[in-house]
Amino acid sequence: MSSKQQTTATDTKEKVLAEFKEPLVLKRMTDARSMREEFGMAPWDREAFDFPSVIPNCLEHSWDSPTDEVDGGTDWLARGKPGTGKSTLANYLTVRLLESNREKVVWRGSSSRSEWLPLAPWTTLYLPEGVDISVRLEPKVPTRDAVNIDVDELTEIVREVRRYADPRELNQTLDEGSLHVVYPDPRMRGCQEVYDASPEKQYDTPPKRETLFSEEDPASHWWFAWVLARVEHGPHHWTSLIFDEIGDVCPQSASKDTFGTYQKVELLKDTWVDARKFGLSVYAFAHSETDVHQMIRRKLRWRVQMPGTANPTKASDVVGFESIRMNHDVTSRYDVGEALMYTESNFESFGWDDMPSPSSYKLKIAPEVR
Amino acid sequence: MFPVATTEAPSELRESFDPGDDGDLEAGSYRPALVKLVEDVRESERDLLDGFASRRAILLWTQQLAVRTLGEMPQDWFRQMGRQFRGVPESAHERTLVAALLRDQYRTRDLPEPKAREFRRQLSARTIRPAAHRAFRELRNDAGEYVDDGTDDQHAPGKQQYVAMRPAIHELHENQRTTLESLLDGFDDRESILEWGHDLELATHGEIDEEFVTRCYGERSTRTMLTSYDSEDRRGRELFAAHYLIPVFNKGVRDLAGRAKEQANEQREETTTAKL
Repeated sequence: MSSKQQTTATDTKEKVLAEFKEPLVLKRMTDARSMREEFGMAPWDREAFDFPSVIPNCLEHSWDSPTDEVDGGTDWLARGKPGTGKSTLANYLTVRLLESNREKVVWRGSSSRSEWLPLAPWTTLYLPEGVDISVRLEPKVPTRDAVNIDVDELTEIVREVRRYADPRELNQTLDEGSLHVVYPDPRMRGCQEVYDASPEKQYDTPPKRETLFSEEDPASHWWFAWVLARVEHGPHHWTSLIFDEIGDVCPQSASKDTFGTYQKVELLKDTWVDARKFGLSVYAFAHSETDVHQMIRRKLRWRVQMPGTANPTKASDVVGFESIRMNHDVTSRYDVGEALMYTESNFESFGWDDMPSPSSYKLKIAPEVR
Repeated sequence: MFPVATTEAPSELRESFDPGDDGDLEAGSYRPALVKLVEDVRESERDLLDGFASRRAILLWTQQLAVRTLGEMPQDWFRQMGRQFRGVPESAHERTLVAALLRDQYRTRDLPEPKAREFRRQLSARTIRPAAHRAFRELRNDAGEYVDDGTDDQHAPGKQQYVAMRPAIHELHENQRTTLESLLDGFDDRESILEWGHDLELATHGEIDEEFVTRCYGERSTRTMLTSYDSEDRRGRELFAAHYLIPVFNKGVRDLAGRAKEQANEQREETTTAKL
């Protein structure tokens, strides 16, 4: 590369990085407060909702809930086609979780997406230790050039970058009232150990293998071990997992393949029961109900129907639900920015504003090919 | 009062705004249903601006308003009213919204009268007007035009007794008012609750929850509240009506007026859904 070309590349990089907002380190204000001010959100108000058991119950976590509301961790499955506002909703959800429970929010990082970018100035990024990571800023307009940046330069976008050795250690370092975007360890270090430490959880080892977790597994399998590690080893502060594209991790089609996908889905299902008892909430997002393995769907007590698709009107439409209160389809005519949350006993629609990303570039963080 | 530039003497001004003036109502109109609708809403607004003498009067007015706006008032507004009737538990005072609707001398909590008046005007301007406007536009599509020879004024809006000249809606209104009044009065015994349940079906145009009457009859605390003459229970019934009946009445009107299908649309216009 000639020196002139190099200069142009550096210029572009600087220009693109300048699009992002300065990361924020706050002393006097909570992250939630600062986010609310940035996005013009009113303080959380459970009274704004008609049915406390639907939205407030799902978002507020307590060990001493009012009657009709559940204690401990909660969950939801938000379903909707691409472009129906799932990511924006996830960002708003994060702010509310930080605000109302001083939650440790863990966002599932994925090499192909970075929907958390609006919250980047408040984000702590977790990357696996000792793994080379490539970081690219990709323009939304494909004709423009992508920009490669160094891992060190990520701190121009996020507050802090931390490296972790294994899921257990990672959990020890999460901060209360703060957002963490976690990229899984492709080497699965510490995962089998977490599984071995829970002797009551026993599943068939995949054929021709000694262990359930292995370096050959898809990186997304790391999340099974993370959930188990969080439940079994804590710390048990309120923790929420923003589980984007859950269908990639526990697909309905999971089978007893060479990676033991089915067994791990079973493991997740068995861990789920304890998750709520230990203050872990899982907010899952998927394109459609059937993307997600039904063992997992059965465990999900709240649903969010994103606009553009009809909400169910029969209990038989929703695995694990015995009743549905909606008589009519309303959501297929909703605009983006509005959705319907429902449980077996009630439903309520709610809305949110847009939350624009600071930059027109997407951030792609991926381990270098081994 | 600000000085207002006018060419009329104050007395004339007053006269032209006389709320008691029925003006052209007695005369015929070519589209009487629309005129009737506008006049009814005007009357409701006038009642509102005057303020109310009791919580009961507010409830009856709210029900009437639902009918007169053909169910176009935001559903959420009725729910909000329901919440307002809960009162403030520590002090037994009413909440702000209810307090603002009551006339000065009937209020139990401190609220500066100008503020209350302003609040009532705001309610009229912000919520009722848009709803009335939507009702008008709904109705204008199917309002009939009448051309008589002028000898008999059977189409004079002022002589119309039916809301928007639609007898079915008027009938619903009557049913709603009677069921609401008998609820507020309280029931003599448990059987009357069941009897009332039949009327309720008509009054809500079938929009009431299917287990509602069963629960009124079956739940001990509800039953006691419905059949007692204590002042506390009387107040309880007001809350009960505000919370459980009136929103459903509105749904009933909406359904009968043929607007039920358009709920998604309506929510878009009103943007009353709670924000996350």
